[in-house]
Amino acid sequence: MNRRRALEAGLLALPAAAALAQGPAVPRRSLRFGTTPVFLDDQLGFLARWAAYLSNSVGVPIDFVSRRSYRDIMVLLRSQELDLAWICGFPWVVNRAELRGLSIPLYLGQPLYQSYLIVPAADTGTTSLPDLRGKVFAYSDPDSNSGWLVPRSALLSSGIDPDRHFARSFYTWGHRNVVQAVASGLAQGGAVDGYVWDTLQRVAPALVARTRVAWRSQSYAFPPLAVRASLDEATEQALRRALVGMTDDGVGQRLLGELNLSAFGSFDERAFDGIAKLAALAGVRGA
Amino acid sequence: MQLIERLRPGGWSYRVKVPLLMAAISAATALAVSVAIAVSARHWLREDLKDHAAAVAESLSRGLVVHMARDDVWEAFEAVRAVAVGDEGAPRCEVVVLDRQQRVFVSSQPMRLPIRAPADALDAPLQRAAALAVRPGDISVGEARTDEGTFSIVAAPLLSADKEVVGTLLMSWSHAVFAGRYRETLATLAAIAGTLVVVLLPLGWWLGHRVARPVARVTEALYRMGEDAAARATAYSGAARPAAQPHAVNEMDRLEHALSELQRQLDEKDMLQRQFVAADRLAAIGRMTAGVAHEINNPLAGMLAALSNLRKDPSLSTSTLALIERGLGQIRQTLSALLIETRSAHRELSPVDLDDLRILVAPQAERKSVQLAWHCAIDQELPLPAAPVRQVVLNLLLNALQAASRHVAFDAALDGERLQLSVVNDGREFPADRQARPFEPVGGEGNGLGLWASHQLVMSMGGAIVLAVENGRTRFDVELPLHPLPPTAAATARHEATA
Repeated sequence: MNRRRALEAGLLALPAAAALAQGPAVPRRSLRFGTTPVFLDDQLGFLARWAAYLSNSVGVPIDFVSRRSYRDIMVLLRSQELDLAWICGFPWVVNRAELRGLSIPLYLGQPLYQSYLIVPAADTGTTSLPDLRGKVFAYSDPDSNSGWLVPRSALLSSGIDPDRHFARSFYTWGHRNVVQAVASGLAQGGAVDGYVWDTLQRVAPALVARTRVAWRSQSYAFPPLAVRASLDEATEQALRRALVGMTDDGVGQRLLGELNLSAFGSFDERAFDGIAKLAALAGVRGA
Repeated sequence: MQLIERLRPGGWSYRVKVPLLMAAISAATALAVSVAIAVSARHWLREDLKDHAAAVAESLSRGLVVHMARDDVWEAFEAVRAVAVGDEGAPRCEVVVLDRQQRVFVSSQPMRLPIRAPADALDAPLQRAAALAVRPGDISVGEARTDEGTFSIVAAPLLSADKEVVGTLLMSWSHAVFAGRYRETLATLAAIAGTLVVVLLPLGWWLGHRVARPVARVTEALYRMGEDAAARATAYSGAARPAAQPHAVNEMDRLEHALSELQRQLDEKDMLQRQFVAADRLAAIGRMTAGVAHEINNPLAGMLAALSNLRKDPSLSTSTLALIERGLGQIRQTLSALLIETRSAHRELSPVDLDDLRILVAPQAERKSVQLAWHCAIDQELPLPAAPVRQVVLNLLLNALQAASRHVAFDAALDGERLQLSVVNDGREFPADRQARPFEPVGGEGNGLGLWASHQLVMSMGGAIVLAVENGRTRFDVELPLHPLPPTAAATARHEATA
């Protein structure tokens, strides 16, 4: 928690200092890139390297900005305090009027991922969400597709009221935290981004080993990157080129390797139809 | 029995006891200091843990109030885990947050104590912590002893800004947490104490030995001093340290000096006594001289008269020669008795010695017209030194003759292994003021030194001399053991007699 606050303070202070140095002549001295736990955004060393790479490609300094929840990032995007963000398909579907799609990352060569239902490794019986009736359940974030929308809509489609199904549910504000909550036994089940869980197997195998994937959802569009609708086209294009072009050089490939991604692909609006349907099923406004 | 006596510490020599005691005190001190440090270390570790627990509970409770108000299980869990789980995942303590319904809101060990578990599912230390929370608005700290060990327990009510109770924070810190640290402290202490003992034990022994050595030396000297005169002559002078100074500050040095001084005085006294006894002998001889001279003079006068008669009438030769022979025989008898008296040869007492004395004192008795009753039942040599016995008897006889009015009686007889002598006179009684201590030397009358010398001689032979005054008769009884006792026993006998 302290670490997160320190990160926030540092990320806020850096552009402020840069602004003072560059003076008022240049209005947009850097691009502010919001991150959410759709990927392992708490690896600061990686973020610094990626920021340096993108800054070099785009020609404008890139600053990463992290917040506690997806919603915080969306608020900042809408208020133009962020220029781009890596968000989840669910917030994209809800807020697409105010955003422009930038890229859909390719995971295992596909712009797709799954939501996993994970349980403690000791629990070998649970195979579906209905099995967790009366248990404590960990959601990732109320604005997460894989960590909230998918399990809720799955229950709803089975005719189960998700608000009554679990004895108690809570948000962990991150996929890694869901894994920790389930691994520690705080929750008897949790909904997690399949890509994050897979990647954690490489980064934190001991933690992941204490959990078991009890159920995998169908595939949905991978969490996309988007820019605020008001961002100029040239910058948008430069960003897209930089992201998509990461496969073209060694540094970019290494960074993609660290992200456990194949590439950053082009953006396709229709890829999110599946998530939009879920949102409609769950009765979310704006979907 | 003797072995048991030797094993009893009270009977041990100071040479062993003092070093042992010093060594034991050194070791005991090292041990006591170590135990004191160990006990206080344990105390402070406990106090530190309590303070730490209370401080952690206070800071944790502030955040928990916010998380509970927002119903944020995850943040509460992270806060609790940050406190409860160490860097390597090892549990530091147990933390449980209860909601208003006394159900688990979050715990540091959700596997054992899951969300929504009832309060009675808490383990023993946390149950005790829950029982602590009696003072609202205050953090309660206590200690709980359970089957699993000892725990420091904390209970803190979680209060909202307007003092509404939103839950309770319970913590338990196992003392096993600092058991490792405490064991390390103990090991360090044991090493220090062990080193101290190793150093102090020989040092204490050596110091004790140094302290006890002079005591042992003085004791040994005093012991030997009591044994006999011959040993006494070398008893302390040999052992005395030349450094012993009369004005030394060290008590042992002063004691040793005083002891050597005492030794010197005893030696002087001994020498003086021997001189006195010798002088007394000469005095006794002097007292006899008048009688003896008379005894020689009488026959001489007879013989001279006989010779003058013979010159006038040579026919009388036969009877005159016989008379002269008798006279010379008498002179020779007298002189031989006297010669033996002055000779200090060491030999055994014979009946002749007593007869000699009769011859020597007879003239005095005759001169004073005192009847001398002589009963001597000794007919053999006795294992007694002749010279001192003769001196004693002569002294007593001369005193008796001087004091007697009509009769003096002498008796000598054997009573088993003892020679019994008695001298009685019927003269004026022994002075009453001196009867209690008749053998103390006094000036004046002349018999003062004689009795003292007689007493000394009798004591030196292991015998006894007693004065009895009854019906106008003064009687001295002397008892002498025949077989000379070994020197140590003789010394003991002498001590008892003088005491």
